Amino acid sequence: MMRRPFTYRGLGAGLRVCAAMVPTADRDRWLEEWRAELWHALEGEGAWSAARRVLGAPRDAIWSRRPTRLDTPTPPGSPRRGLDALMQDLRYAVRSLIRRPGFTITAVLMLAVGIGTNAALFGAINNALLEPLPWSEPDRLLALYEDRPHQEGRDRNSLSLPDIDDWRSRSTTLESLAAFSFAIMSYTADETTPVSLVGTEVEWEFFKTLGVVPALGRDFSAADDEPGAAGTVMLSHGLWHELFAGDEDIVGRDIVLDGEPRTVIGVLPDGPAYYFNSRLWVPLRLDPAEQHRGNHRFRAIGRMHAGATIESTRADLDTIARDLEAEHPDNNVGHYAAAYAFQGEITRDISGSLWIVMGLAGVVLLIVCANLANMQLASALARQRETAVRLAIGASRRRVVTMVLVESLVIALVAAGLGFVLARVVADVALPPPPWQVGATVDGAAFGFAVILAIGTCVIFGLAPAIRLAGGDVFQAIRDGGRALGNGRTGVRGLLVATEVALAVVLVMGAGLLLRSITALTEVEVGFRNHAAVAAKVDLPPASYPEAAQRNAFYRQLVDAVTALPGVEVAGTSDTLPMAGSTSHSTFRIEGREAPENSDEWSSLRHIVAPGYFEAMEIDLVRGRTLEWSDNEDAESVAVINEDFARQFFPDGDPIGERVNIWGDQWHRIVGIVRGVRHYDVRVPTAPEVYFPTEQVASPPFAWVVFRQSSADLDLAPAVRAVVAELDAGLPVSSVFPVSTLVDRSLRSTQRLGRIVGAFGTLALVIAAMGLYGVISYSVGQRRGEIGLRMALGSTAGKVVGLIVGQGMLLVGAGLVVGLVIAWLGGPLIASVLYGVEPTDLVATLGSIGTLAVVALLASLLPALRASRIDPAGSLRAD
Amino acid sequence: MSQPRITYPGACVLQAVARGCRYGFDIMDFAGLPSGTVYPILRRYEKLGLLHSDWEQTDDAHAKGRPRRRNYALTADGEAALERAAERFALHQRIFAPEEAQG
Repeated sequence: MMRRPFTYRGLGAGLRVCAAMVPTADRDRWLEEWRAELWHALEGEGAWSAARRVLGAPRDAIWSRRPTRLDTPTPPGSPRRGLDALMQDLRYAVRSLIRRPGFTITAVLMLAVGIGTNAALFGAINNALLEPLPWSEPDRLLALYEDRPHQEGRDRNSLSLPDIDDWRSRSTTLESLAAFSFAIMSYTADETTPVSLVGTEVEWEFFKTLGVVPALGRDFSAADDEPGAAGTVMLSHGLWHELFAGDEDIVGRDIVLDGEPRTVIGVLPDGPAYYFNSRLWVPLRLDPAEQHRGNHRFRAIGRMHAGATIESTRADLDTIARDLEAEHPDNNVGHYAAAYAFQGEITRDISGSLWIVMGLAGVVLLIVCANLANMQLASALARQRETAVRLAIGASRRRVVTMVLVESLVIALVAAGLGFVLARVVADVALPPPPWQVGATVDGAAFGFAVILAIGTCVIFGLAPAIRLAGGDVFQAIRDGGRALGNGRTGVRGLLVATEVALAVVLVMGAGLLLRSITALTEVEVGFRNHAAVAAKVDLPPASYPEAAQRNAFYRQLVDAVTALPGVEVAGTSDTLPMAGSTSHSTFRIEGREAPENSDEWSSLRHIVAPGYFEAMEIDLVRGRTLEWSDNEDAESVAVINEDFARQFFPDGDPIGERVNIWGDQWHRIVGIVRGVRHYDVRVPTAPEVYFPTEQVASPPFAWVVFRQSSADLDLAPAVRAVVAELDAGLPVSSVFPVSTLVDRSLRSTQRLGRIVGAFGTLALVIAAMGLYGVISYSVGQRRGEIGLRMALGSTAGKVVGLIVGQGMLLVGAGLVVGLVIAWLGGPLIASVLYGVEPTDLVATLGSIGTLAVVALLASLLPALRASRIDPAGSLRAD
Repeated sequence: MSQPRITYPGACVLQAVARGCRYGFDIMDFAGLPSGTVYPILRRYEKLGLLHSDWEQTDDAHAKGRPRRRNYALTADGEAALERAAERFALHQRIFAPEEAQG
């Protein structure tokens, strides 16, 4: 045996490792050949050079696995063959897309917009509606109300504190229960102007019930909630950063709220808005035993015992409600308990709109898919000859379909990536959290959704062109040099454009209906004409103004001082403002009439106002008189009612001169009737209202001072603040704003929805126009010969334009008809967000038909004009 | 049957074999290409029928005390392919022409 040198053995071992990659049948030969060459090189050139030569061995081993054209083909169906083919298709698709940058960029961008919008909305829906709230066992949380089945639309009434207390003590299904009530609070930092903050007054078990533990400090204790306890406050994470720069030592510090010093006991963790974007929480400090059972001003949350269900809790609370009805017939007759899953409740206002927007975004995506299918089809037709050759030399139709699908998949996946980035932008820009309460989170789930959408859309927009291409007559295509499928008829592509138009009609119609709703809402008579009236809230600390007489004196001075300001025409006060979120309801009696068995049947909105309020707001007087300063404690007690009150409770007689009673034995004579004011929302019709003069009732410790300016341009906020400071330097004045902002806020959700759907509609129009333009242009290209012939035979340019535009409008017409049918059938789905218009509204219908017709006309006019300039002789020669 | 496509390195390898280089490393030296390029070309062209190869006689190798080498030669198809390649690559002609004159 030959002696083998060390270098040979070392390099030989390397060769053996490489040989493992060589197919078994060739391995021995491969290894022997390399060894021989290695030996030869070692002898002639030395170790270093031999080693360098052997460096090529791994590459040779890898290449030995690659098929050459004369290889025995891998048996069909073997996974390697499938994978090789897929890799080949992928490379082909990428190369082919790079060669057509215009097509690729348009397709990717269009699809990215479609996928991005859908992913952003999925993020919002997933975050708000599908994902459980990030608190301890959120499915055990309930929102609790009082249901009054005999009063229409009153299934979510506020509760009274004594009722809540009885529910707490008697319920067997609720682990804990806490009442709460919203409040606007003024925060005054040292020597600065007070700022108003949305807050919540809560019973001490509120956070324990929610399952939220403060991030800093401690939770409320029973002692904090005792009547007369020292003031405490819990801050939201956001407010802590905003006002106190995230100061770690904030716990234990005193801050002044509504003129009262309160100790900060804790800061909540960062997270979702704890119910209506509250910024801070203070204990109620009320004794239920001293509260009136008719004072319905609280809402409640409850946490069920493990094992209890919503149904069992409802049954349990209803039993308690029936007992209370028997125990308190004067207040609780017909009051049932209502319990709803908490998550559903906090997203109730937005879930409908979110699903509608998501549905419409889906429609946008479908339009994008139809358009992409169209573009793919056009590009497939252009490559028809190439495909025909592939089929002729033995490629299977399945392979051709796969190739087109792989190309679509590449587009879709790139678009999904881009769409995901876009979704983050859309979520930040178009869906800011406050009105939705819960923001959109574009996270992994949304990305997964984008990828699923991409794969789904790729099948939708890739399959039709692929089948169409693979189904063409191969030999005809070769004979015609690639023109076999184009005979001037638009075929499948026309059908796709008609689909795009149909879907665009749905979106444009939706946008039109929302626009009409917004117009209708802005035209609603809200009951007061002076939207430019300015309001400022003043809070009187109970410590400084314990007596009603003191408060009344202050209000009178305030109104006088504000009225005296230059530029102020008239001023008054009220304890409520329309659409400001706070209303007071009271049951009443009418003199000389027997009260109804159920006292709730006689209930009304109640306002306590100072003279001048009606004039400042321009609430029209219908009959009688409004309130005057002479309506004071020495004069006869009076009241002003609205038209709804008169209509509902005095249907046959004249209410003026009649007397009503709300408090104790005090009867108020009705002296005037005014127009009804929409107090809840622009959408909610007026309800019975009664106004009392401040000086004849127990005036509340806060009031909105409302005044009419001689010109809307004046900024009287500093002057009003100065007036208040002059009367009492320590008094906080929350922000001064025109009442129109309250009306605008009430319109905001509809306007936002309108803007989103309007953007969708515009996008749909542009895409549909692009699709139509593409198809008509293509058809003109195919019909050059025919058009040339027509013109040679005497057809005028005008007739040619008519012919081509007519072809386009035929597609649009078909799409319009189908689209209108879909829009009408789908109308009830969006009826819930409409106001003052029917889903089949004629103006919106005609408007969307007109818009689409004009856009379609423009899109088909361009290729038509080009067709009219065809040189007959040239085109005939070319054919 | 369609003609196999000859790449530029492929033409160099064919040219080397035509000039009498019979073994892998010799072909590398002649063509100035690394082994990782030359060997895959040899394998491919052999499968395509442009080259054929066989082992040198065992006795010969044993006499010299080394393993047997594999030697390569052009087939008729290989010669035709080389001609086509020479037409296609003008530079190739210029590189190899002087040697041809000398040979």
